[in-house]
Amino acid sequence: MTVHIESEGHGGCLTIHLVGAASAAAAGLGQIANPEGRTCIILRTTYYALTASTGAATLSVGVTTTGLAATDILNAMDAVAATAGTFWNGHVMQNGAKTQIAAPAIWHSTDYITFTGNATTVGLEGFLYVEYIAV
Amino acid sequence: MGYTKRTSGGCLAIDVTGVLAATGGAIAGVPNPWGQTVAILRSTLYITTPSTGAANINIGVGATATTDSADIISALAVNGAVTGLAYNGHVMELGAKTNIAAPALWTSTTFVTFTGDASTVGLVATLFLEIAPA
Repeated sequence: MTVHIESEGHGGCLTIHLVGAASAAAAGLGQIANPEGRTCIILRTTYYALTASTGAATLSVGVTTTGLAATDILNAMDAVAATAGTFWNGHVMQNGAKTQIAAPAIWHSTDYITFTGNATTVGLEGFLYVEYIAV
Repeated sequence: MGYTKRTSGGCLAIDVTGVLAATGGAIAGVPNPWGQTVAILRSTLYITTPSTGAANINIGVGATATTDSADIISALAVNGAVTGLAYNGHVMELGAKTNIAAPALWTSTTFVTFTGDASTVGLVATLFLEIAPA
């Protein structure tokens, strides 16, 4: 497990600390369980890079069941381009009037946010900020 | 009329249940809980259970508890395959130095009202409002 909850209080966001790893398996960088034990709606996601991946790799993050890869928060973000001090918007926020928020998927109590590299992401480090509301 | 208020994720959460009446504010007419003007920055509606029959819902800031207003959500269908779905409410103002013209400011004397255009019996939903005090 190379991800963990750093703080639940940064600007009202859940803050997840990510450290890259050699694994390129689905959820190989770790996964975070729903911390509320009830359905949550993710409204905004932001990634802040501390250091980039040493080798070429992409990072995918999303909501899914345990042990699977998902991409509905970050879809194959260039982990080398995520250099120190850069911010990355996550998913596209839904801003259409009375329009379903279809992505990211609803974060049900049994779901996880999973982190997956497509190659070794050693050297990568950053924070994912997740703004959500609990139903 | 039936609603309860709570907070979640820094938002005001208003839980509502559907009613038979289709008059203005029949589902709920929620007074401003802060006693001061607030701007509604973002709105999200989560439908736990849809209405039994076909109905659309209006949500907005109205002059009275029985005013039918639609500047948060206008005529959203709340019947059918909508269980467990979340909806964005109003279009957020994302333009630089642009007046946030809608929804209307929620003053200390106005209400956020919920109105169906037909019976909304069966509906269980929660409106989340992110606000900023004036």
